[in-house]
Amino acid sequence: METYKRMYPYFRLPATVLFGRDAPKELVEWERKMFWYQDAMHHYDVMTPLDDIHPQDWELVLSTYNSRIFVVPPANGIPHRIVNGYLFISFVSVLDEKEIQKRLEYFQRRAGHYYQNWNEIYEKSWKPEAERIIKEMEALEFRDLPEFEDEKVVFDHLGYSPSAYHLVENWFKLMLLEQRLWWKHFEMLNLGYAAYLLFYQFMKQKFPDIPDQHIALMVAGIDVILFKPDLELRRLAKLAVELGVADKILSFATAEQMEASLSRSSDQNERKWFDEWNSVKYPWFYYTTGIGFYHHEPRWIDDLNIPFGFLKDYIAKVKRGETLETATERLRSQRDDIANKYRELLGEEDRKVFDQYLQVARTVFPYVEEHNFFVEHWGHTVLYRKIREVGRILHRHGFLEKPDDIFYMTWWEVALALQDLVASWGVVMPAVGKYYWPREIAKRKEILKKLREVKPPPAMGTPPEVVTEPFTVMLWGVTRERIEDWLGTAAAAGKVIKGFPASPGLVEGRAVVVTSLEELSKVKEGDVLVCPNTSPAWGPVFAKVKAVVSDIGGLMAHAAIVAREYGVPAVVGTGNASRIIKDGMKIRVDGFKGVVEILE
Amino acid sequence: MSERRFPYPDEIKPPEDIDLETYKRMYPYFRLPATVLFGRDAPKELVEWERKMFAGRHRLGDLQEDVSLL
Repeated sequence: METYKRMYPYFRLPATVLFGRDAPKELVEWERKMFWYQDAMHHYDVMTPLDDIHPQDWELVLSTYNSRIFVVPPANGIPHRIVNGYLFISFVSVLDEKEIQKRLEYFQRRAGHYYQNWNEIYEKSWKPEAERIIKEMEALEFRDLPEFEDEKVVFDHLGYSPSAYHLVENWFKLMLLEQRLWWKHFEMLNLGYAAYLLFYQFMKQKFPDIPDQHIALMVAGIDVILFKPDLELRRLAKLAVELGVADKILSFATAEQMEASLSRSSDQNERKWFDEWNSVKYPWFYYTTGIGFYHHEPRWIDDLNIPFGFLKDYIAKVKRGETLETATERLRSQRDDIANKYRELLGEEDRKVFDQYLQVARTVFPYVEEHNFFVEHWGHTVLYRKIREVGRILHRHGFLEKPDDIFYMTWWEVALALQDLVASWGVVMPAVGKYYWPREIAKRKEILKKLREVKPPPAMGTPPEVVTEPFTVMLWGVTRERIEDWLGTAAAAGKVIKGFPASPGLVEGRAVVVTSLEELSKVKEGDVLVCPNTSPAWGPVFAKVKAVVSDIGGLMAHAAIVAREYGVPAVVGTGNASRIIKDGMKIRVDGFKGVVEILE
Repeated sequence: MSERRFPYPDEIKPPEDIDLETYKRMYPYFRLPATVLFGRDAPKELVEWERKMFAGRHRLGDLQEDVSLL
């Protein structure tokens, strides 16, 4: 128990775990009063101590933008608790009408400024600043300690040991830059979701029977760079066929073999294609196949066989004469048709509100998807590569059995270990970390292994009457109806599973249940993908499947957006489809109604 | 050479009436003697290193000699 408690900051543990029998009554009561649900969308696995930096940062950042910066009228922050290694989150609503009115004045002035200048802020301030943070992270150097300092330390009168000082300093800088990137992540995202929510609520008020999906389709079909890595692979596939090098590329079993051969090729077309392949790597292969919050999620740039596998699938499709276009163009005409039909049903005054809300929702859309590329994909790939540089140094000094064991340390423990390392280097004595960390980490691994075997409940506490926090509704899909499903009134019944109708279409097919990234390779052309959640980076997989069913997610969850952009029927936020449906079952997915039926 | 010596670090036990876990949280792990940090499982190598160091520097005669050098 003491080892478990050391793995997380004290304030992230439930009161009874932290204090035991002496837990303060007030704190226990506050925890009981809240409604908690497992954030399986982003943190589907147990939290290793270092991966917990992400939720540590976003709890602070998302909440502060809501409560203290933009002053979102009905919503404060999203508190966290780690329960048996899994992340549970809640929401702090503002229910007092007077308080909401007071906050509205702040919100209108502050959020209004962002909504009015959205594109300019995004292009001229947000993007350059996000890139600057990532590049500053990238420039941090982690060098092992030399036997003796360079003589410039003496002759340039530096007055300190750069080797010792910068090793510790750069670790702190990396952690702070990581938080800084999270501040960018949520700078405009809360407002983006708030804009959706306003539009959504307005439409539901005017048209109580409107399908959620019609609302979502009105803001679909917008080009965003989140799809760019996948689009680049499609472009490379077409280019390979055009240049007549497709068969050569298909003949290689691995990316390494392809690179080894083409880098030495004297054929002009092969060289041309290979140069293109290399030029898209930065930053488009800084792309995770997961959500972006776990060290164990493979990233394209670290395992080139991932994009290479997708590329080969696309080349085969082009050779078969299939089109590689996404549904974006079709969605564009569809979205305008739907929007016009509903607009015509409104009175003059309501039309003005409709136009305003829809325009804002469409304006915020690219950011709502694209921030993800900058932070979770590009930024976190750089972060994880830097962390691994430190892991390798600690491994070389015997602190870690394997470089990746660093992820079993908290961020401040890594700082402490580095202090231990530089002190022992300075004194010239054995570092205690060499004895301390391997033992401690072995115990932590054992704990997390046991916790992984225990599936957490979907939620804890008393369900609320209303849910007002924009992310909770639009991203996580936590609504009163969903909570009822979790309580087992509908979904657990058996053959019919309900969720959000995320992307239209009615199909039947063979289910393939994917609960981990390693299982993605099971997915064959024409399968119905059933999973706890998906990542935006599963685009190439979406191109293969007939339909998608996920346990987690709301109307604006990435899985829902990607499914719509790829024109694949989808039902998200089912709660437990991936546990009920088994591999090979024949199922019917109704993306219009949000219903999944087990046929056999 | 005198056989008189100060106690080794592993021979000095924290007072029994203090909360050992709280005491350990007060300092970085690498600043505590091995037996305080690891208890009965303290790595022999580290305990020996600590004994060797203190034995060398804190023998009474050596200490007087160190002082005389100041």
